[in-house]
Amino acid sequence: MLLKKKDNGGLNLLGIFGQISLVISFIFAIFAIISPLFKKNDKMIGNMIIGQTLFAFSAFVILIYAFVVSDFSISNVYQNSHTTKPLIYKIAGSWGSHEGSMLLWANLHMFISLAYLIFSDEKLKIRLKILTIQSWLSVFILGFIIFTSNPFVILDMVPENGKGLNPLLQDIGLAIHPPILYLGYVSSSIAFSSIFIYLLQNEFSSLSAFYLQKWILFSWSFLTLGIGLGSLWAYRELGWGGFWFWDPVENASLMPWLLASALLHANIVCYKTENLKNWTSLLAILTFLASILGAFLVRSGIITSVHSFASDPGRGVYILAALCFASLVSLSLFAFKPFANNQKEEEAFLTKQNGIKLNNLLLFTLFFTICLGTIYPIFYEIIMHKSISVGEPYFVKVFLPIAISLLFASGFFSNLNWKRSKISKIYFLILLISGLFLLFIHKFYFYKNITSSFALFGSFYLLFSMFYIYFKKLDLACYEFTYILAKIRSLSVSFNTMILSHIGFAILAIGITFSSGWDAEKTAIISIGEKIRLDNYEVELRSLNLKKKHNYVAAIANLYVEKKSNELGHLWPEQRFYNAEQTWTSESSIIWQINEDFYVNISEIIPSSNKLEVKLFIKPFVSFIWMGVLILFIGGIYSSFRKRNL
Amino acid sequence: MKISYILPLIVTLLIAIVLWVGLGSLQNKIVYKPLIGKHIDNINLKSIINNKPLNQVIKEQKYILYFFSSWCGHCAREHKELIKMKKKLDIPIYGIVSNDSLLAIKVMLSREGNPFNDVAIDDNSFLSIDLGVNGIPEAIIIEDGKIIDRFRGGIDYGVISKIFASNY
Repeated sequence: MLLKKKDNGGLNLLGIFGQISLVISFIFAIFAIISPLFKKNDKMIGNMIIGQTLFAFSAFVILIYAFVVSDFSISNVYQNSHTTKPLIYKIAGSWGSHEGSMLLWANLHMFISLAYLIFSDEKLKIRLKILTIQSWLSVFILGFIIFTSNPFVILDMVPENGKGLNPLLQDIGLAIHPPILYLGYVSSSIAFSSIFIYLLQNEFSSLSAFYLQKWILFSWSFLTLGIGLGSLWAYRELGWGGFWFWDPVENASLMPWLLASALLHANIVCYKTENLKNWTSLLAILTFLASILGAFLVRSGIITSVHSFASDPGRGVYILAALCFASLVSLSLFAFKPFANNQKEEEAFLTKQNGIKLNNLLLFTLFFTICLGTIYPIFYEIIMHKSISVGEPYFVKVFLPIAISLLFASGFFSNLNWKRSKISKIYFLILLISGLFLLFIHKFYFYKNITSSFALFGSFYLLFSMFYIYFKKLDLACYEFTYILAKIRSLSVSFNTMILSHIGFAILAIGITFSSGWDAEKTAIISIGEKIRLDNYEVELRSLNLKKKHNYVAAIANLYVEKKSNELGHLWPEQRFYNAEQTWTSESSIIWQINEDFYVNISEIIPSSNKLEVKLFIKPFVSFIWMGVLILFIGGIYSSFRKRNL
Repeated sequence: MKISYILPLIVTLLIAIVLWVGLGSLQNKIVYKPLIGKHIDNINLKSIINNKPLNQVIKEQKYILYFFSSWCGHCAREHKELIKMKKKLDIPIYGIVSNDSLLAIKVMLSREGNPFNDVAIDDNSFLSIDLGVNGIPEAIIIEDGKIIDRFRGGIDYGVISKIFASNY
């Protein structure tokens, strides 16, 4: 490896090319926002969008290349990479830092704008106007990168090796989770820009709302998957045995998700009945603002979080200024130029529309509680001059009752029609069956507390309601295979999505309830040959080995696990010491089963005596969480990509 | 125009103002500083140089007690700053080692340089508990046997040079 300490006098072609690409992309974005001034040239903005995307992408490619070849003359590479790292983490390292992740953000934003230009069904004239707003956002993001977090800062001296990447981030979870979550964040901007233009034109037809729906679903699906992957990463990598910690960073991602969920429901009402137009547009604006708010909370360091990897108040000022500007413009537009209210008088109470209103009310309340819990510490500190932290107890107490009522409400109202409908006996039958099923479940998982039982009750109710609705719609007259298949194929995309996503939601809720209500854990000190028990499981420490890997040294424990005297296999939890970063991490080891995970983590190695302090967890039905998230994602993305008819 | 349509704008702007003020206070962050004014009677941890109790070694009226260890990354980073500070202003700094071995500390000091007047090991962490130290690095400034200021997780060079300005 040719790595000499040399004075390169600030001349580094790679870094300079990267910077130039960024600036050119910025200039393209600026031209895009002033292009409406030249009325004759409507197509100009399309070219500008392509131009900014290309150059931003080339900047990103240059950054990745610098990471791959370990060019330590670029400060960002020096700060976040090391020659001994595996290739995949070198690449992933390029978005592991703040600067790199912002560049990724910019890239995804432009790609989604480009995709909107190409694939949207909206009229070309309106589409181009919407893209002007998208370019405004590009200007903000690129300006943010260029002025406060330039990834191509060149060092005067070339260091011999890099500082390495935070070992917690050296995981496949990091390689894929941020890009997917960011894709969700950035695509929420499409709804924002569209609504902005519709408000400006004061026309929001049901057709426009319908065209918008697939972009909302796209954004929502990727937010769902991104959050799911994030919590999978936390579960595997952080070694706390949990998947959600109510950390500000997690809350920041949950806020836009809740609003996007509300939005995608409200927008259905919007294109089916032309009601709720103003409410839908408010949600679209707030969803995007919540995304920026999340970025602000995480990046400014205003809230100290367990995993705020990169924070700097100076960046905070910029994001906050952008947030203020965006909210001032969009919300004043909303305040002073709302759509005309042509809401027809409601005749019946029991309609799907009212169900969606209730759903929106609940989701918005959830958003509000989380927003309050996240921002309240800042309020408190300003007024009382004391620090306070709002943690799990608050969120669990406030969040759970609302989330449980959401389960019941969605189970009940999905049964209803758009027009008037009556409560039939069958709804009570489903309720009864769910109740009986709950009792049946309690035979194996004994009653723990009222909240968990109610959460399960609600989930079962939603699940069974969905099965009922599905089979009611299928309306099978005979049970011949081809006939059933033909019937299934005749179902509409939106109906399938509705069923699939709600089933996913119910499964997710079941997974969360079980894994947090019926878990068991134990901390024990174990020496070689010793056995410890937790419930039905028996663990024996067989050996403790040292292993030298490319970029770390690991102490690997060999644990033999038995369940009710039947062999389950070996677990290999590790404690790793990363040479480049000089830090310890622990790698948990999990036996994944459908019904429960058996999870072992080494908390400490007691060096003199070959003893280990281990934490054992039994986490029932964690697999349901990942399954639920996957089903939600598939439901959303299926609907987003399929052509549908109004 | 209905009043309810302006509500989102007002609420959002209120939140933005709060965040703005919060961000401002971040720059001069209100830090929790416990036990200011507490009287310190006897530090009888033994010096690693000559095995004397520290209270016999310390002669200065005003000095810094600096809690650190060799395994702590922030301490290693701040170590260099301490050495620079020591060169510029000759402030008496006494290092208190928490949760670390004598050997590791000796290796660290010989390799990185020694900014401390003296170092003692806080074996059972009693001193840390007495002084309310719950993380390292932490610098406690003591004048006439009383804690007058403390810095958690990083010293503030400006403040320290002001405090010790009267010495010179």
